[in-house]
Amino acid sequence: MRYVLIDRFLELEGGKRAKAVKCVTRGEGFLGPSDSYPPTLVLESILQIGGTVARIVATPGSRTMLGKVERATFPAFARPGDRIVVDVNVILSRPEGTMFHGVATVDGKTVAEADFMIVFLPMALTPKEGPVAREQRRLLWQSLGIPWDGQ
Amino acid sequence: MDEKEIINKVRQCVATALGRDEDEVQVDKKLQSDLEAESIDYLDITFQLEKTFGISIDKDELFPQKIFQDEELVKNGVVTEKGLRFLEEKLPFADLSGFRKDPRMTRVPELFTVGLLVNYVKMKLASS
Amino acid sequence: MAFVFIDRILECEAGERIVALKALAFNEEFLRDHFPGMPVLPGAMILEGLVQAARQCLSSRPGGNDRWVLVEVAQMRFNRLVVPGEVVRLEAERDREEGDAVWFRARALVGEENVGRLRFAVRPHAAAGFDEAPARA
Repeated sequence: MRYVLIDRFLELEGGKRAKAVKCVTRGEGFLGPSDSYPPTLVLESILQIGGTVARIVATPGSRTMLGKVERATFPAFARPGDRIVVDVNVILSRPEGTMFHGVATVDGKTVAEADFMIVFLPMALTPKEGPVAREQRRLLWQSLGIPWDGQ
Repeated sequence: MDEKEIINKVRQCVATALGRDEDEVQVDKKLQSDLEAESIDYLDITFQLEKTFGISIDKDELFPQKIFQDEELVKNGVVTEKGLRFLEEKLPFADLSGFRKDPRMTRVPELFTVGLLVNYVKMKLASS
Repeated sequence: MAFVFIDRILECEAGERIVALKALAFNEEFLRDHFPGMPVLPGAMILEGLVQAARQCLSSRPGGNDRWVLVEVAQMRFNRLVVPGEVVRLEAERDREEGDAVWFRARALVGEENVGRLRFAVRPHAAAGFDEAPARA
């Protein structure tokens, strides 16, 4: 099971907001009972999009990580064949981390909504991103439609 | 905003950040030992205070990391006179009277009570 | 490859409380993306493990059904990264019921160290198929 839970960015304003898509398909192989798509993976898509919005304007080399989910609700299911559209907005931002609000919808119907905080880990605490990992990230961002300016 | 309103709003902020009932968040409660605040909570409290009071809190202004960098500020785990003056400067909104009687470095987190946050907010609102 | 985030049940009081383990191995495919060069158990998958454990806890009630789905999460916070080579202990305890939803208080630990804490609610999945999660009471 791969763990890039975003397929493409439709709109992206670093430090402010983003709109991205995640398709649900049997091809990924991680459906739950009765082919249900796990709500935790929808949440993860929202978190990863928020993480990217924060990462783009973060100090080069810093790591973004999930700090807290204040609240998340899952009012409906996503299922194979669905195209989930996720909208994430920055609520407040600080040097230590950023607060976000995210909504995931399928055909306009909300399948998940979350208030969460992405934190910037101090560089001393985590291994530096080496050249190979950086290149991997560049290729990934390129595939997802995230502009690269050498960060 | 009068003092009572500030106190109530600060208590609300801490309650929201820590996911606790407002009743548990009394002014004399210590964030770490009484309310079990962890590192992520300090950031959340900062956000809530900024949002609620419309103030801007600089990094390390309210919850400074690594306060005692200089070795003259702490000797054998006890904060020196120089260290106490440094603390006064760094945390003008803190009540150091209790701390002075037993200034062990391990007791520094005890300074951070809900009351300290109230004093901080009052200080910020007065200067804006 | 199965989407299973619990490895073993240590304790189970049907409908009340469950303690499970999730061991983290370097080989797990999702770690290649999370993150390249720094494998870390995603917080959302700690949540998934707890949901799967809660599902087992509720389904072991007499007449219990095993079709519970996550409907809400509150105050989920993490304090420590979990890396390959560590075994996470997942603990969930029934807190209260709200209509047909069951709320759990949960935490994750590695040894004695607190990894994270959260509260979550699950609700019975409506009968077979892709029914929508029932509107909240």
